[in-house]
Amino acid sequence: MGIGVGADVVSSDGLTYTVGQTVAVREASMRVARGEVVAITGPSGSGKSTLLFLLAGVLSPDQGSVHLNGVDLGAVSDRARAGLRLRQCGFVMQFGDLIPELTLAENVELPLRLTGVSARKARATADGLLARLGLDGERNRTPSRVSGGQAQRAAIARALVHQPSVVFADEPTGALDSRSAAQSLSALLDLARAGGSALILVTHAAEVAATADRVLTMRDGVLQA
Amino acid sequence: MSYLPFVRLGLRLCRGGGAAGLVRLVLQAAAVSFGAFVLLATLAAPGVAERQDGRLGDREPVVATSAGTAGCLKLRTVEDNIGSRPLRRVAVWNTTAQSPRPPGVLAWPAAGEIVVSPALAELIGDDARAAARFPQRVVGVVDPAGLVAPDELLAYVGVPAAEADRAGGAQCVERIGTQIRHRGVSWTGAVEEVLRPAVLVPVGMAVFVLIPLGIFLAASARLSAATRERRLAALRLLGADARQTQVVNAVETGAVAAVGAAIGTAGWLSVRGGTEQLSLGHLHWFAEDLALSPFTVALTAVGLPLYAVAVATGAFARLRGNPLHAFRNAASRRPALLRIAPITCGVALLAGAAALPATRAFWALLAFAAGLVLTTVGLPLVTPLLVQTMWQRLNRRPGLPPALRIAGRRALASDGAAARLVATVGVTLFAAGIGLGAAEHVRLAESLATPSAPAQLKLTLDGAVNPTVLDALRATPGIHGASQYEYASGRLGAEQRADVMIASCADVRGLFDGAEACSPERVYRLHINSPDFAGEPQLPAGTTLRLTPAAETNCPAARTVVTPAEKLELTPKLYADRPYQLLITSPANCTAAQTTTVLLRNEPPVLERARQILATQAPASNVQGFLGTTQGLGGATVTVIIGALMAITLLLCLAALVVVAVDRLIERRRLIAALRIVGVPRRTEAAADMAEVALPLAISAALAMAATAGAVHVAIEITGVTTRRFGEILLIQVGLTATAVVLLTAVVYVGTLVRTSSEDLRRE
Repeated sequence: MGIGVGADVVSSDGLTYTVGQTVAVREASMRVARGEVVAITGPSGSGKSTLLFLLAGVLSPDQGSVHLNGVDLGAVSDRARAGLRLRQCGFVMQFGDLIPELTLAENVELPLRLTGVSARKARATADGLLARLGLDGERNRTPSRVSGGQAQRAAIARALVHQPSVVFADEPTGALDSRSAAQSLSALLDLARAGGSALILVTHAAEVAATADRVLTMRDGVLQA
Repeated sequence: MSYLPFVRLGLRLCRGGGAAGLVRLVLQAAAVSFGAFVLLATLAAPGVAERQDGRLGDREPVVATSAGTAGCLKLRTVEDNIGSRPLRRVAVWNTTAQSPRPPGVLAWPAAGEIVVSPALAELIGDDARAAARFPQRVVGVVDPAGLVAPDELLAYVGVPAAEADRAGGAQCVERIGTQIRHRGVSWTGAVEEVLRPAVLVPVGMAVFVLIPLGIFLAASARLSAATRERRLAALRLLGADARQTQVVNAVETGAVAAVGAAIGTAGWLSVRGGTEQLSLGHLHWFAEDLALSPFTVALTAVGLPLYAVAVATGAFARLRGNPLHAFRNAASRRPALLRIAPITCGVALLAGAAALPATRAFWALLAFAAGLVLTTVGLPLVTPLLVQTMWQRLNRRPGLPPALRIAGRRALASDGAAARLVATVGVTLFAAGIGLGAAEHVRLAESLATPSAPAQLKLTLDGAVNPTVLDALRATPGIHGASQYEYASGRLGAEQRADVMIASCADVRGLFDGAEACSPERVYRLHINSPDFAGEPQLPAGTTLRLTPAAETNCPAARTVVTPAEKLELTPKLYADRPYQLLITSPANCTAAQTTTVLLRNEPPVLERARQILATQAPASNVQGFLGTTQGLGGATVTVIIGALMAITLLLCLAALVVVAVDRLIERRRLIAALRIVGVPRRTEAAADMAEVALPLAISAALAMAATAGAVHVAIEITGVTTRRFGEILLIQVGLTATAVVLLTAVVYVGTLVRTSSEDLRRE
């Protein structure tokens, strides 16, 4: 089945990915429109995270294709895929995965700095975002010096600071207490919607999935609408 | 896209963040700094030998091949010592203003004068023994250009020509300065070709310094590897491609290493001058001897950071593919089978060296040297492969205790810190085994060549000495005899020859027991009672002997002797140099005796007195015999060098141990978080830690000992010098392994003291 790629930020067609003898993702096809929030849910080991990384071009499928803003990720080099991620994608992982040596502000401005934005402009943008997320007092602290919730909000700021067209979030609230989880999720949704970024989030939590425009379920590697 | 932002990020990461980052930064820089220092010191060593050889050659006299003119410059060098310090005494006579001079000597001393090295001048002022040895007037001091080392004891002694010529044997000096030939630390001709500094130094450097240094620097370049890998993987997710990620990694590693290398280089250059005060056994050097070319210094300062970058790039190679491996603690790639190649080649070369026939000792030694280097390289490479294989096999066992299961899984998933640690220990064990084997080999070879510490000594002087010298020697307590005699060869018919001694009865009694019946102006048939000459033919009475011409015997004319019936049974007081068959007690018939012999007790005061008499009253005489004198690369010096190299290896091993131990402490919280969360007892945790290191250590130690056994066996095959102390070498290796186990246990114990709060666990 062919899928149109014109207006979609991300689209996949027949994605299949095998790990050893196990088919982690089987013929997954989906599309995500600009500004849309899509949640992928499913039990552990169902292939949710693998699908997320296939869509982001981190993993290369054994079969099928992924288009990001119309670019076939399978047809371009690893370097070009990385460039697309840097400019057009944001990532939020379960444990934030901020760079421990950098302060929260440096972490947040990193995508801008790596794409050649001047230090002053990058710092101003990052500071604004951190202030919006209530982290202006922590901007010069390293991740190990702040709480898990604060670190996760900084990771959200980093994912959105360069106004990507899509944010990939893998269990973004999975490691947080309920209060921090709610704050982080709210921040993620607000910033994504404000910037017009699509959001694909993988989650176990029903309350997180409930915030999405659309929920997809994965079971044994098969994507179900 | 420009790499500049990634370079900037790499530089920013150098500054680190938090205590762990700072510790890593300081440790990494310190390690490279130490490495640069050790490397520069090691690279400077061959230069010292080369420059010292050069100066030794520059002052070496070259004698004329022709008879030369009358009154030409003559020199005689006598190797002596004062206490345990070697002393070179050069008697010089027939000097003129035009005579060639060695570097550093502004003018030759006249008779009764001496020119001395600064160290000897100082010693003459401080030490009564030295002052008694050199009563002459000091008229000059030798410049550094004429000295091998600053502490060298060297004296150019002006002697009267008449007295010196009486000693005989000295030839005209045509010029001064030649290229010296290395004797080598060897005992056979073929071995000599290989065991020379040009081969020994690189092999020694590779086995004892460069390879351990490489492992040490690799360990320090991979500090906090797991944390750094996760960070680089996060960068990959963020959108950095593999090359950009490696730029960040390379800049971060390279910048810290460059700072370390600069500090180490600056440190070496600043302390180099001070090393003139140090010495290794008899080895001493001028600070200038340690000078390295700017190219070598620059190569070290640049090469070490590049090496660190190469190691770090290789360490995070898997990020080129799927960066998620780092987040999911995926198992490390199995080490490539290619790692087995160097040790296989090394063992094959060693086996080949042992199999080569004795006639091809040159090739056998070359193969041995190459085999040693390849085996040393191969040991740390093959260890991780064997460790992984062993853990994989163990992990398949269903009933494996939890501690072993944890250790095995962790080892298979880890970045190989434990394998690197034990690889360092393995190389150190092998280097120690080879070093001990070499030292034992040198000791044995030397003891085969020279019986150590005999109770009595025999000194032999070429030529005659003034009778007052003999009187002074004979009057010294502890000197059993001082004799001079003439050797002549007697011809019996066309082919046969007999050994004839021409000496006074007093001189004969100085050499032999049983000469009480000896009378002057007589001829005796001799029988020398010595196991050395058992079965030698005796001259029958009535045999006519024709003594060889005057030119050979120093006797006035050829003469004929008929052997008498009278016979003396003589027993050498120490040993006889020939199986003399005839004695003529009429030395007056000969103008000059050719040999002077002194028999003395091997006691320091007796030796000192004998040296003093000879130095002051017969300075031009060439003294031969065991004086305990050592110069150049003797066995003791070689042993000192081996000891120094082994100390460097041990130091590098300990430094690597510290680096890896600190690394483990930094990384430990991450390693144990999952265990603490599920409530694994601390005892199991510690047992897992120990097991993770103990298995690789056992494999590495066993490999090192097997390699040592093989190498020592091959060395015995090649040189024929057998050691019975091989068991002791293995015992020392076992002791070193036990020490490593103790140190590792301490590291594990300290690790268990790391406190983890609930917040730490939550974060990890």
